Parts: sequence; structure tokens; C-alpha cells
Amino acid sequence: MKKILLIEDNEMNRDMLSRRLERKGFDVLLAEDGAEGLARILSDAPDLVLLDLSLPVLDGFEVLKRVRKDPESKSVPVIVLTAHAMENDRDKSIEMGADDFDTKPIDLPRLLGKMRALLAD
Amino acid sequence: MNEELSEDQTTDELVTQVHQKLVEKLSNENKRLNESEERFRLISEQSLLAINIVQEGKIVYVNEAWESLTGFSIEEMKDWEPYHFVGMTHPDDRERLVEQLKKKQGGMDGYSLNNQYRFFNRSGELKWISIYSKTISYMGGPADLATCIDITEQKKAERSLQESEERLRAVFNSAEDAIFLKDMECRYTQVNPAMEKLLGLPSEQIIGKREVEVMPESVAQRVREEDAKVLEGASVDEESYLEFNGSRRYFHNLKVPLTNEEGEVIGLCGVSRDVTLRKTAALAKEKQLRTEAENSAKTEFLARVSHELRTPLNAIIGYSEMLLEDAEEEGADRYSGDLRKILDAGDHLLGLINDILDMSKVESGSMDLFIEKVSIEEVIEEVVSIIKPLVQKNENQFEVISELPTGLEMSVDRTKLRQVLLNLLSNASKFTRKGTVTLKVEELKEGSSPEIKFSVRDEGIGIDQSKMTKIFQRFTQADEDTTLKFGGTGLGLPITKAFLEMMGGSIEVISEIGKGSAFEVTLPREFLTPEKKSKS
Repeated sequence: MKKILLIEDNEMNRDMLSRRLERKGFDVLLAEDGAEGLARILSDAPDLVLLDLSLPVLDGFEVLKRVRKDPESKSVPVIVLTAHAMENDRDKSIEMGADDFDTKPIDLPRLLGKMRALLAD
Repeated sequence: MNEELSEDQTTDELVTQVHQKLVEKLSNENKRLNESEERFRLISEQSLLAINIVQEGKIVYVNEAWESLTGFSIEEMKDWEPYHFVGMTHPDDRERLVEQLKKKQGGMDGYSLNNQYRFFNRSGELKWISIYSKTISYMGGPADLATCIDITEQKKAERSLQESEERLRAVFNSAEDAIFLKDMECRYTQVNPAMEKLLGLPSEQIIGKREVEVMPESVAQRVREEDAKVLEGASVDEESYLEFNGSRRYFHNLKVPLTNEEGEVIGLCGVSRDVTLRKTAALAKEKQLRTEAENSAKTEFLARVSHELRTPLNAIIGYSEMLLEDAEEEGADRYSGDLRKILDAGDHLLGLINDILDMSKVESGSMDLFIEKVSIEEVIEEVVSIIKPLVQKNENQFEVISELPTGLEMSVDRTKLRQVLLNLLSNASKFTRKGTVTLKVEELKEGSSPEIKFSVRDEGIGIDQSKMTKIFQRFTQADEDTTLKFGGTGLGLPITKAFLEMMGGSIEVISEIGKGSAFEVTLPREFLTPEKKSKS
């Protein structure tokens, strides 16, 4: 079972997405802020990270930067999720080392397509 | 002298004493006479004034100053007649000099020759002199004493002063700035043509007047207050405006006190420059900056609001989708209809929020373009797969015709092109029932640069001729019933048009009521940045 880490501060979004992903057969780990997320990436070695951009403590960009700097975590696939739907967020995320980008509200089939493509690599 | 003699002196003594006193007195008087002559000689010889004496028609005396002025020595000039000087005089002044000399000779006793003449001295230098002549008694007979002063330097100074004044006057008269002088009573003493133009009055109607007599009271009051300050020694440097026939003109006013040599204020000088052009440009710039700031604040606000709206909407859409999946898996069909309605309403709301955000970004100029090379086929495939279910919902046929060579690319903002096509296709599907919706793509090569044309045709209700332009305006649909029946924000087409224009494209519509509509989108295959465009 693939281990997915969902870093998301909004409780409803976290609950909803984690339940839907679990029903699709993923093992979903949760983190509520950037610092917790970074710690879980290192301790639990997830197969893929779903990272929200606007997070407390450490924001998504900062998490991304540190993940890519650490040799232990630098190759973990990361999909950035944001509600802003700002085009430059997407560009900036990809530039900083995200593997893919998706906007909220989550279109589950689309997100699953992106996740499967990265997990299959 | 008598008082000096004592009573008991003898006659002899007295005579001797008187003699002695007389001798003393005579020798004193001689001495006095010599002193006086010496004094005259010194004065005459050291004087800067050139002096000559003419008696019986001949020069009998000249001093050193006369010699150095003319360049001739006394020996050379002795026995010259005054007429001799006429030949040395400047031709323009000769007649006047001759006339004066004639009057003098004509026995006008005591007549004073007092005038200014130009003459050439021995070395040909032009000299200006001022000469004064008076009949005197000399050596027992009448004579003419002429005193003469070299005023050449003074004349030169006068000339250069005059030239400098002429130059200043030319500047004063040709200046575009209104220039004026006022006296201590704040009456205009001098105004230039620009000032006449500004006040719309000839100078005769301004000179001697106060501000209140030549300008409206509202302006005059300000001018009066300024003038009072300036006459107390302050200077004024500020901008003001005047209303002329309802339009406002801006002026930069400069006023300084005028002082005499003792430093006393004797009036003021003012310069008014019409700065309307510069000022209106600055005001326009200011307004533009304010508008830009307001727009960017508005965009930021909308982005935040849209984020706040989307977060709960995420939950509504997400949970209803989850419940719908559960209901369908568990065969709980009685819930799925209602859940579908919640989901549809959520999707609709999301569409509205996205449209409003897009429109406000377009309006505030903060919508960015991300031009990239894209495969046109890929975009078409993507769009078709998304829109297919919607087209088929109203039992419509969906026809996709591509006349492009395989693998053709264009440079375009992929997201915006996709949004444009999805918008047109979803409109076509919404307004068509049991008909055909067609998407056709072709390359146009007629013009100077190749273009890609996307046509979306439907067999729907059609658009009335009179509403054709209205559909591209914000928040208007062809008619209000349409909104009630078909929904939508009325922002889809305005956004489509705005996106196309940003990418150098255009949109046209052909429609017939009851038969259907065709929207034709044309985009350049190579995106041209504004700089490239202006060069070509």
C-alpha cells in the first residue's frame, strides 16, 4: 500500500481528501502545518507528498525548499495543492522542485491521474 | 592801522611806521597776486576740463587737457580760428556746430555754447565732448572762455546700457511667461505682451490699475495678499489656477520685491508661467497611479475573498461528491438525485467565483499571460474530453473537425485558450437540444502571418441581431429570460473576448434566431509581444 503524506491545515479539506484517498486504497498520513509535515517526511518516508501552500509555522514553499535540500528527502515526489489558483504559484512551485501542481477544489480523478503517474515512475 | 599807533609816538616815527606798513602791505598784495596767478595756473593745467580762450577770432590760450584731447600742442593751435575745429567734427554734428558759432559771432552777447559734439582728434580717434562757452572779459577786452569735457567713456557706457536695455526689452516682449512690475501701491507699472494676453487687455488698460480692476475678485484677493507679503520683503513661489470660460488653467507664480540702491523696497516684479500642460499631465499621472493602486488593492481583495469562498466550497463539493460515490456504491439511489443537485450548485458557484475573479483581474490589468508552445491537437483532445459529457447531456451530436497538419504547434497561453474553447462549447451545448455542436479548427495562411481559426457552431436558439454586441458586455446576456432559463454569470463571453484580445486574437459571431450561432475565434500562430508588433 502506497504511503501518502497530506500536509494541509484546513481540517475539513484534510478529512475529506484523506477519506477519499483511503477509499482508493492509499495509506494516508496527516500533518497540520509545515514543520510537522517536514518532520513526517523524514521520519515516515512517504511514497508521495501532497503539499498545501498556505500553511502555518512553515509555508509550503519553505517546506518544499527544505525537502529538496535534504539528501534523505530530496527525491520524494511532491504535488503542490493550492486554493489560490494563481498561475505564478504553479510556476514558482515547479521552479522550486515540485513534481506537479493542482488546484482546489480537488477534482479527484484528475489528482489521482497525477499521483499515479508519479508513483509509477 | 590807526589803532595800532600809540599816542606818544613822534611824527617821524609815525611816518617811518606808515611807510613800513605800506611796504609790508604792498609786498603782501604782490604775494597775494602771485598766489592767485599760481593757483589759476595750477587749476588750469591740472584740470581734467579742457579750457581754451578765443579773443578777436583767434585762439589765445589752451590748457594741457585741451592739448591732450585734440592731440595738438598750444604752439600748433595758436592763432587758429574756432572754425578750424569744424573740419575735425563728425559730419553729422558739423551743421549744428556751425550754427552755434554763427550765433556767437552774430553778437549774441553772453550766449552760451552748451552742447555735445563728436569730433576726430589728431590720431583719428572719435571723441565725444560736452562744451560750454561763455563770454568773459580778458586782458581788457571781451573773449570766449570755452570749457570742454571728454564724455567718450560716458557715451560708451550709455550706449552699452542702452543695448543691454534693448536686449532685456526684447526678452521681456517675447517671453511666453507673463511678466509685470508694480509700484508700492500695487499698481501695474509695466506689463509684457504675454501679460496682456493673459489678462485679455491691452497694456493701456492695465498700466496704473490695481489687480481688482483687471481680474475677478476671487483671484484679485489672493494676488493682493501675495503682493502685500512681497512688498514686506518676502518672495512668492507657488502654483495657482484660474478658471477661464469653465476650463482651469494652472500657473507657476514667482514674485520678488524690487529694491533701490539703498535696499528699500520700491515695488515688485512678477512672472506667471502657464503650466497647464505639465500640471494636467502630472494630475493624470497621479490619477492613474491612484487608480492602479486601487485596482491592485481590489484584485488582492478579490483574490483573498475568492480564497475564503473556495475553502468552504471545497468542503461542499468534496463531501457531496464523496456521499454521491458512497450512495452509488451502496445503491442508495434515493439520495443520489439530491446529492447531484448539491454538487451541481457547488460547481456553478465555483464557476461564478472563478469568472468574477477573472473579470476583475482583466479589468485591473493584473491578468498575466503565460505564452508557451503547445500542440493544438493536444489542447483540442483535452477540451473535447472535458466537454463531451456536457454536449451529450442535451442529446446533442458532437462533431470535431480538424483541418490542421499533424503535430502543428502554436504559441499561446494554454490555460486561457482552453478556457475560451470550453466556454464557447459549453454555451453551445447549453442552448442546443437534439442538435449538433461542431468544433472546427483550421489554419489561415492568407495574411502576413499565419493564424489559427477555431469555430464553434451550434443549432440552438440563436441570438437576435440587435443583441449581438451586447453579449460581449459584462453582466449582460442577450436577454434576462435567458439568464433565468439557462443560468450563467454573463461574464463568460466578455472574459473570452478579453483573453483573446490579450493574445492578439479576435472573436466574431454569426447567428440566426431559431437556427443557431457560430462563434469564430482567430488567434495568431506566433504570439507577438507588443514590441515585436510595433516593429513589424
